[in-house]
Amino acid sequence: MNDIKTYSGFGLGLRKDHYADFLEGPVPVDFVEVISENFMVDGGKPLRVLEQVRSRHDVVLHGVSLSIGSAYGVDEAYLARLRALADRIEPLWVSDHLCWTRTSVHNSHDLLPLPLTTEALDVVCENVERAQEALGRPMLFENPSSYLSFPEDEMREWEFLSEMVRRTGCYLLLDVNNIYVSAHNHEFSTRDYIGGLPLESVRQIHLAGHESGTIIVDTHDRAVADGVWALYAAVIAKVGPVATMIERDANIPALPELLRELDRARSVTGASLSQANAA
Amino acid sequence: MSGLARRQQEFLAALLDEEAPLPAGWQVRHARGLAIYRNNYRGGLIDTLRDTYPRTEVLAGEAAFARAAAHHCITHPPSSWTLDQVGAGFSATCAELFRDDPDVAELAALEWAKSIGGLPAMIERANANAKVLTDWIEATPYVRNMVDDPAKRTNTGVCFVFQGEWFDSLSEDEQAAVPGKIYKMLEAEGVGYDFNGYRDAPPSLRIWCGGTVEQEDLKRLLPWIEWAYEQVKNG
Repeated sequence: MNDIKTYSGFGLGLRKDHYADFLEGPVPVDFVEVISENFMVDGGKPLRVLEQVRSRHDVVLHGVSLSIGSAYGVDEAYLARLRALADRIEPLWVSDHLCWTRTSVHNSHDLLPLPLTTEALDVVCENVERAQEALGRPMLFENPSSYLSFPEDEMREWEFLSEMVRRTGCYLLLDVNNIYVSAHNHEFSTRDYIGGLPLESVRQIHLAGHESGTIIVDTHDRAVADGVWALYAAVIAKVGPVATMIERDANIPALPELLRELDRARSVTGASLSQANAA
Repeated sequence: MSGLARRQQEFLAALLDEEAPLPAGWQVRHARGLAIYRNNYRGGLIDTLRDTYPRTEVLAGEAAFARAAAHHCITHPPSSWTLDQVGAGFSATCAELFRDDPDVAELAALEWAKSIGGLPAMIERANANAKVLTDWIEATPYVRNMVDDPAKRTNTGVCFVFQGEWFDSLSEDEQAAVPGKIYKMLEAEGVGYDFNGYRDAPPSLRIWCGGTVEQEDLKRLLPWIEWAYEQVKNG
């Protein structure tokens, strides 16, 4: 299976509120991330928009319904549709989350947490291998934000992800906000988390806003927090330049505001790399 | 069932039911986390229903709509990966919850029709529904379509009459009673309502196949009619 080469650039998620901006002219981003499921349809306006966007920008497909941790295996019909979309759009890569969303009968449409056990790891790896085979390409998997851990957990999340990468050849989409959120909620050190990952497999980074509280909630409804920017700088110092984007899914501001926030990612990256080089 | 499958079923059940006891080994901090997942689950689906039913929300009122939407997400947990189907059956939920204001359910039915593709999609659904019925009528020796000429048949109120050796051996009054007996049995079982033939039509059953009917429901009904026919035939 082909390797995914490192791609450095700065991108945004394509949201309905910004369709007109992306259709009007080139937007100053290197790549655009789209939610796969919104375009896994037979035709219609969303696909036409995506094809126009694709004619101007690199695109990455980001899914929310693969349910890679499902004890009931992967959904072949879903994978066939995702493959058709990937063949049509030729994205830089296809990603989803380390989570589960469905049982044999019901789909929660939410990214639910997995117990970190060897049993779950075996299930996930088997599902990843099947998904990669069906798509004909390796995938990226994103570290989730989570609000509870299971009494039966046998390992830490970074150990789980590392083993997934080792066994299946998949890559990582590192959501820096999710690390920040889960580190607070589960009282682990972000340094241990980052230090424990195979960073050479990171191909993309997500940044997003969260809601603070006793339990921090990953809301994607506000600007990226200062603590997350600091963690991002630390990650970039170790990983090097890598595709970075900002996710905003609620309270979506006008595009210029998000572009300004993306400029901050550019400057944090620049500063972090200069410091790393100087050191 | 594997440990993981059991854990996932437990988790989803706990998302759907606030009253469900916490899974074994969980403590207060787990309950707090679970509450966030529960809110996310409901919030996401309620937003999807709001997008599909904007006018119904205005008619019902924001708070009442939110309650109905939450009820729907719990009683009809989605089964598909696509959010397009989340609103299926919501008009029936509204009919149940807004008993004093049938306009709410009717408006929801119209908004659902619009969301799945409007009039062309509804005509297509009615055609597909009628085909379920006509295929069954063709394959069932003791019934025939009430309208001989296929060009004159309706794709909504599909009517069929009874025939065959046993039926022909009955008196006219006995023949006239057969559809009504079948209808009453199935009504008593809660299988279907209001599908006895028109009063002025020959003794018949009349199955509504319009676009608001789910094809699966029609497929479920047919074996019940076969069962009831055998019951009537065998006294």
